[in-house]
Amino acid sequence: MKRKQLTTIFSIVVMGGGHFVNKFFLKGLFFFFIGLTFIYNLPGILQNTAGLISLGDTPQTVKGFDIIQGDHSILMMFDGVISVILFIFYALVYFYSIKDARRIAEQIEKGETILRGKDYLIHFYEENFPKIMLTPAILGTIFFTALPILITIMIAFTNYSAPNHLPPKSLVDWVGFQNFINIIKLKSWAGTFGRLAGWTVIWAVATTFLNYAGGLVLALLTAKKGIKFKGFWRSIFVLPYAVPAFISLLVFRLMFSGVGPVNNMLASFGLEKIPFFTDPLLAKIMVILINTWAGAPYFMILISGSLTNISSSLYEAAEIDGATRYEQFRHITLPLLLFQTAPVLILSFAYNFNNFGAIYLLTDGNPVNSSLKYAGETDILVTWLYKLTLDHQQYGMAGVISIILFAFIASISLYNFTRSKSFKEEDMI
Amino acid sequence: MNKKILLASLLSGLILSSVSAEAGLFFKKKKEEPKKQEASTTGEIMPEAGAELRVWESDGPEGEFLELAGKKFEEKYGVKVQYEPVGMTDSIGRLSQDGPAGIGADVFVFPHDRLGEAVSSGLVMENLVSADRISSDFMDAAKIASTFEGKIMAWPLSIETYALFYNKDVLDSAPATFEELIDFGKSFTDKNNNDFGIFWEVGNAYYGHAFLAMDGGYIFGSNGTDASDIGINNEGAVRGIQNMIKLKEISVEKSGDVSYAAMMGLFQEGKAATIINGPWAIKDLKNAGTNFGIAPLPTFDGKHLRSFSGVRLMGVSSYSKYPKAAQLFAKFVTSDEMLLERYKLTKQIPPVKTLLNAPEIANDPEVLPFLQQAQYAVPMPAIPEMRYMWSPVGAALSEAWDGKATVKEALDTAVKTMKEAMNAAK
Amino acid sequence: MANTTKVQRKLLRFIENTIVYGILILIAIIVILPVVWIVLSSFQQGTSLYSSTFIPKKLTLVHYKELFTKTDFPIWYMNTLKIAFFNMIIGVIVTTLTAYTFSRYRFRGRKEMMIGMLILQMFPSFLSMTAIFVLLTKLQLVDSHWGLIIVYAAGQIPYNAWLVKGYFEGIPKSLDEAARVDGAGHLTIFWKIIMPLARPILVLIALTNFTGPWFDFIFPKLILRSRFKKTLAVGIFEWVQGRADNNFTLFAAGSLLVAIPILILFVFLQKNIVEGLSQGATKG
Repeated sequence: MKRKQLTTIFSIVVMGGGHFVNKFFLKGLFFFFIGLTFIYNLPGILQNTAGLISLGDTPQTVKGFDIIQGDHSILMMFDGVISVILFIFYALVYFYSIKDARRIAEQIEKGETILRGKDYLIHFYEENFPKIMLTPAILGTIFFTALPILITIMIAFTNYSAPNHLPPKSLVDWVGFQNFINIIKLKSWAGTFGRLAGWTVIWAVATTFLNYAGGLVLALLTAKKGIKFKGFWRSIFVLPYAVPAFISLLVFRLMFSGVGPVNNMLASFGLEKIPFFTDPLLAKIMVILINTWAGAPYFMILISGSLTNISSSLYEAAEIDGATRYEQFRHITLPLLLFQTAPVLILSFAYNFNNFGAIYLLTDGNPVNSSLKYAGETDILVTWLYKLTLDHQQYGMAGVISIILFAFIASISLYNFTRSKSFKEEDMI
Repeated sequence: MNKKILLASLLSGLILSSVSAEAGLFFKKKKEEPKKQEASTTGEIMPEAGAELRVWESDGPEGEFLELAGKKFEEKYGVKVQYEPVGMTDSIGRLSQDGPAGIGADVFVFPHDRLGEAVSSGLVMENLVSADRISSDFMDAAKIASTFEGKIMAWPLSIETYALFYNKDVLDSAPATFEELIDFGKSFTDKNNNDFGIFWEVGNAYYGHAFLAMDGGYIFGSNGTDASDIGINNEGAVRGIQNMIKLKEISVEKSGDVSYAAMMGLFQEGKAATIINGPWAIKDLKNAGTNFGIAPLPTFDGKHLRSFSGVRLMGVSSYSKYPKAAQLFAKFVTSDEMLLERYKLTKQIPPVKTLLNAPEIANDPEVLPFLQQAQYAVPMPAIPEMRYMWSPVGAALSEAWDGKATVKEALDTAVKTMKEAMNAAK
Repeated sequence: MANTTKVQRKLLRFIENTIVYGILILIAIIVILPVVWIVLSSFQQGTSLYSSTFIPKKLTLVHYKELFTKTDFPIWYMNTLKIAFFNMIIGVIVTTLTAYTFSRYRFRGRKEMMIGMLILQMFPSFLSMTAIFVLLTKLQLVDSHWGLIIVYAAGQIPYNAWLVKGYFEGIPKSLDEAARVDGAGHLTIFWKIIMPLARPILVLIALTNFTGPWFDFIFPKLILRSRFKKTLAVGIFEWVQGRADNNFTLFAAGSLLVAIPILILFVFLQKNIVEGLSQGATKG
């Protein structure tokens, strides 16, 4: 008992202390060093955390040639968040060191053999293999996905906006839920939000469905028995994937414009010109179709792979039972395909929901509609948000909209996803 | 045992150094006390010792000029100038990121309508070395364009506006009035065959301003500085845009069918008899071998069209480590001698009064029409509220053109949208 | 009787195949026409992609010559190649290890982590770009190819890990359990048993990770600042982006030189993606 208590106390007082008590010098030294770095970093951590709360107190001052850069609120927010993360990291290591030392003390008291050195490392590796393997993915996701999102969300609670709250000239302050309240108050903008949200959902559902269906048709056709030169056909159909979307979309924009070659051809046949991109409804249909042109090839590749993954014995059995080919497709191919690709399908829905590039390059939101505030008929929420942020520098407001957007898309996807078979049954395979 | 120690110390050393290195980066050093400035009131301003400048300017002839100017500046002051191609419309956005990161430009070029934005976010330094010269020697439009809240904040490099380009294979001479052009266009235009009397970016407020302001309309009052006074939907503006819509007869049916690429393509093929465009198009048209001429915008109802004029400004970053060298460089670049060099390379009009009379500029057929148009041009307002104007006014022009709304309705909607946005930003 | 049905069946199959070929040709035309237009544009004189006729009146090779003599195109090409290559290597390794762990191990927080990655993926990435920029500044990785590679490699994990995991689920667990009984370690099983069977999906991941950097112009524009570090997509996109930049023909020529290696890569790899999978399935 005494050893364990002593270990605990020493561990609490000095990082690695408990290990020294039990003569685990290397490990103790290791934790001790981490403790040292903590002490070295502590003033910075505290200062930055304070900065996170205040978001700065001295703005830029200018006197002739002397420009004293004041506090850059957004950078301070960033430093603050990093410091909090760092602090949590230290806390975790600290508690782990105490736990580890106590485990060692306990084992010594019980007289169990304790792994040391190489054996310990091997054991550690064996025990924690999943965690070790996931470390790069988790670190990458935390720092390059989660952290930026966190910052964006935090900005929604500040008054970071033009013209009076732009660093470095002026400071940014926390304003709580003010931006959320403002958005509710701005009734005329709520109309725009609603209209765009409706179209965004239609757009995301339609493109995802058509991309998938188009890819499926291409894959089925090129995999059909008796069709020659399968590789040749596939290579042709993959062309839209190989040509960068940013050129093919611009090309489509010109091809189908009122003065472009397609309409010229129609006119030369004595037909009426078609307002492909100037009629609101037609423009919407066009962007969906063109995006299918560009997106289906990827799904063709993906599905071609999955198709051959379906065991041929299933089809043979079905044929013996006298199933027609449509029935085979309906009851074997499609369910198995969907089972394999459901997560991809959901992610693809989310991707299209935020598919900035397609709209930006194809129509830039046009045709115009003056009843929409700073948006056009084909603008989706993300492109609208982009215009608001970039042209108007209303970062706080943009933060609020992106939170709403994120909550919306995440809940739809999560709902569908947790209900999908591939998630429910994933442990059954 | 030795191996183990080695391994362990290596490991802990690695972690230690990476953790502390990483952490160290995040922590601000104590704020540096500003160095006391030796009395700068007397004597000439000299570049800081060891100064090096990074300059952003667009790619192309503008960049070529800057590299030349950099060399000459280095010869004179011994300060190295490094040129990087950054588009003039990108520079402010980039500086707001790169400045704090310590990799921003010392001197950069930007369009003057974004001066307000640059000043209100604290990215540019005041012009401390040549304000007097700009007030006395530069054109008024350039002076106004580089001034914000009564202070001269930048250095004007060139002034530009748009004019009428006409295809000489189709039209013998430039039409002096729009009435004349409409007469010609009535027989020339065949919308199904893509033949148009005139073609321009109808839904773009930059060009639309020429009509909007021809008869009393304006964007913001008091020379574009009073955001509470919007003149976009006054009677004059409505009359101006109604004139614009008269051109629909000889132009494109739907505003959405216009794109810059289509305009240039049609003009090069001689299918658009005239286009409204700026000096930046000259190079492309020459490369394509188009036989074209340039003229000031025709009059309408006997009134001159009031195009927007833009001034290309050079600014000194407030993040610059060498503000004196940077300001000296901007002053050097905007000297008469260097602006003349710049004109030779870029064909852009130097905004200095005396230079405009220089024979090589005054007689240049690629410059003269723009100069003539510039007399009637209105400098784009530079207040930060400008950003709320482009999209709603552009939409209004499009809808009026397409006949979805009357001119009055469309412009009223635009003003309403702008006011809402300005209120929301307060 | 048997004879007629055979003939009938043959006839039926012939008609069916003819219809399928017809559809294939139709789709091929729809797919190819815009691409042909791009090809023709790249040979067109002048700078405008717009042409009222489909086939340009005069053809020229000048744009291809310009690419290599007057622009930084070759440098951008090498940059992109480098980024694409390392993104492919790092991406494949990290993704497969992650997918393997999620597929074969059960541990606390597994499902939450998987869903978490999925959800985070749904945030529109360019809205958080400024934050990424600041982070890279702090790590001194702005204007460095490695900064971009890290952002790419980290960003692709959730989607691809889910994709690969789905595939791994199809590889029977009895195989690795047998190996474990024989005393194989975690990584040995991964390397010797899973990897060979998973070749098709690895090829697919490698392909998409390789092609990504050729198409993206949003992140490189943010991260790569200086002229000689640009990637192709950014470089050539700038030719048509600005007010006075209207160099569509040069742009088309550049884009084709981007598309060709990717197409060749696909032609060579498609067997691995499509046919390899069936092998994997039969082995299981």
